[in-house]
Amino acid sequence: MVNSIPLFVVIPLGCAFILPVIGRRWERAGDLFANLVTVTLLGLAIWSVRFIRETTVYHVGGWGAVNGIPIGIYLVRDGLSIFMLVVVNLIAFVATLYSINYMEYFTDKTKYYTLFMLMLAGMNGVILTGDFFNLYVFIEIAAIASYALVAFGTEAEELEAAFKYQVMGSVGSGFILLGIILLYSYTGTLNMADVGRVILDKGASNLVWFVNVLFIVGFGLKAAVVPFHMWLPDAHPSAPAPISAMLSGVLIESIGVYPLTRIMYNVIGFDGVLSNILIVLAIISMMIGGLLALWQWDYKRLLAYSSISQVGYILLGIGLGTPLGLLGALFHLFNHSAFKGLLFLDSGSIVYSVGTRDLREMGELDRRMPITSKTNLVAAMSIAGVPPFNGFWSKLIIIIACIQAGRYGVAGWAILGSILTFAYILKAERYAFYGKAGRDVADVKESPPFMCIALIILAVICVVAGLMLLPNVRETILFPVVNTLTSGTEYIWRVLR
Amino acid sequence: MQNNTQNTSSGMSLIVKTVARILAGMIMLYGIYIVAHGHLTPGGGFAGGVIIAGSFILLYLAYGATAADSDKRKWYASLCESLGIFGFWIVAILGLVFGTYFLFNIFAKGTPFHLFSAGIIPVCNVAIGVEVAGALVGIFITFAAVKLLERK
Amino acid sequence: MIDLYIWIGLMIIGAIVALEAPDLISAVISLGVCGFSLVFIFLRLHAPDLAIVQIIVETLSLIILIAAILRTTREDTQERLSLQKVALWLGGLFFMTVFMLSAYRIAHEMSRFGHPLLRMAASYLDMGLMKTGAANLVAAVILDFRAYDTLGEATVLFTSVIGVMAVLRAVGRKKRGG
Repeated sequence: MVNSIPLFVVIPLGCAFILPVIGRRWERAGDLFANLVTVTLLGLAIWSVRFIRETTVYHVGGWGAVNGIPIGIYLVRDGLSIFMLVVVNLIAFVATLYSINYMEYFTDKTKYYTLFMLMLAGMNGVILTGDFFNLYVFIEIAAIASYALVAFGTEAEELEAAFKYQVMGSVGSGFILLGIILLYSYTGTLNMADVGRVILDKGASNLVWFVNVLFIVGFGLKAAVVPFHMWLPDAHPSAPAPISAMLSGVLIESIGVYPLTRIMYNVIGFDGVLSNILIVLAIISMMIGGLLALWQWDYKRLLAYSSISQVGYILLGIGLGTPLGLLGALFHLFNHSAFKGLLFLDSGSIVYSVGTRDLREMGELDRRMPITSKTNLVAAMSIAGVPPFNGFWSKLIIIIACIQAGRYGVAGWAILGSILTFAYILKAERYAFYGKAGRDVADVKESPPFMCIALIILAVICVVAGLMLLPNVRETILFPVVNTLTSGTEYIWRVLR
Repeated sequence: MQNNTQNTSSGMSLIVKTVARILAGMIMLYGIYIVAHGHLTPGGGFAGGVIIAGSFILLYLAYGATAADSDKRKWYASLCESLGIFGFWIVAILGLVFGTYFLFNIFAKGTPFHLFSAGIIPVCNVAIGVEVAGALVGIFITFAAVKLLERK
Repeated sequence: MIDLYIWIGLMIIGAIVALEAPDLISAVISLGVCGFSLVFIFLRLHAPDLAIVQIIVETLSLIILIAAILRTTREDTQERLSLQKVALWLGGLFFMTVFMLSAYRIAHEMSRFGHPLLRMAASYLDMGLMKTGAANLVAAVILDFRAYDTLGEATVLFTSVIGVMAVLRAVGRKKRGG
């Protein structure tokens, strides 16, 4: 079914466009429609996994190639896109489920769901597109929706965080757009595969290098790689919890890491210099993110710094460029979405019941909020890399890949990073759930049902995701995804055929 | 305070109001022309929609409005915006519904250089025009009607 | 060619004045200089579609910005000359130098100004009128060949308006916390 490809964008867009009209009188419309949309999309994404070995090209508007040159916009669905679609729509599904109860906190839920749907459509559009300008347009949709969602509480510090995020985000978009303009001028086309073909024909040049740098800075700003990370520790904690989970769990990956990876590997072609740049950025991110997280007393802020550090791991695997490194990076991307999403949702549950984000004011919550505390324990063990949980496997694969590639120093940094992770997550766990209470917690109750269901779903995923590495499963799910990247610029011929 | 409320309820002077009343219609007509002929002459939904929004904003500036009026108008603007872009969306998925491609030009192409030609293009232009007009009027009312610093 | 440089120079000056002006109204008007110069550049480059949109959007955004300023304050926040500001200026200068030097090195690799060799241009010119039925080729490109991008752009506008309305709500939360 080729026609299922545009549905990932069409369905959330349609929901977003009609919600402001029907949601004015009917308060619950947002809950109902947004959850229906995310369930449908998750189903579609999982159903698409059966096509994971194929590359399917969809010609929007029926405009194919004329004389071998694409004239319209192509949507490309291959292993990597399907993998990302599953990750994004899974977290979106859990976040909308969680929002049913959590967003009772806020006024005007309808606008919240409208913006949520737009952000989701933007991310799905970025993942599926095969066209540079289209990529930019959908990055903007996702980014603008997220600026507004960060400020959704409309308190002074949230507005300030959103403003900072918007300024940095616009600078990032500016770099990306400039890169696209230069590539357009150099190659005379916007189709990613066609751009790759022209670059292959013309050979490497200074301009392509300049564009590489622009893309690293631009997408680095979107992905909050250190030194471009200053906005993230303000923006992600300020958002409502389900949005924090979306931003940290999938947004920085789908509009930052994913396009960078796609362009580097499949369009421009990956080489040693790029690999070294990415590895250095990754190590700095891991260390700075982890060290700064250690100092935080605001639980959500600690988690935000932790995201910087974990994205460092993903970039490290991608920078290594070996099949094992890529396997580890992609698996860690999936795991990071699951456990970081779960941690942010847990922090939201704490805020919902206790009313504070300060670790020093929490404590003794393990008896008061059993579900939150158990799921948080699962997520904490995952992110810290304790053996049976998913985070252990992905970090192990990345470290083995470093050693296999002969980069022992890098492996050392990665191990140090995981020790840091263990330290800061232990601190959060100890103060939030087991330490002595800094205030009266007698009347603290467990969160409402939908929030608990969402937490349990993600906790189960954290436990069972390790099964993806079982011999038969990894050959059917993870290896085709890694292949789309290791085959490099063959992407061009798979798309243009 | 007395002066202030009078100011917002009655707007600018009689001369401004009369001129604005006469001009607004013409500006709007021009906007509609730009939208409708988007597939024949330069312009289109974006340009025409902004011109239409301009005519409304002119009236708003000349006549002023109370807070209650503003709320109602903001809702109408938001409604126009949503329905406009929803119309574009409907046209876009028609291709999927009838078994061709997403955003396929599914209507009859007609004779070139005639007003009713070019399939979905004029329909999309009208939808975009309505959306853009609603969006800009909505933004204007939001920024101009809310006293930004005093809302807390 | 020389007139283009004049307009671009005006744009740069307008942008710098907009950043540095202590009075926000003059900052907004300098921003207008920037925008209206762009209108003339579009006209000079034979892009009336863009010029129409640019001139009206610029006018309306000026009105909206001025309305917002009149509702709040005209004063920009005053910063005294501090070490941090000097460091930022030096950093910016360094970045601009590196950027300009690299841009100079790659300039000759771009296609010559006014002679873009688009790979799909021939197809658009050949098939534009016949396949889409639109006499205005720009409309044919933006609403048929690349209609998906236009849907995306309309969505960007929709998103920002919904976002502005959401952020400027009078009351954000029903109870404390969050």
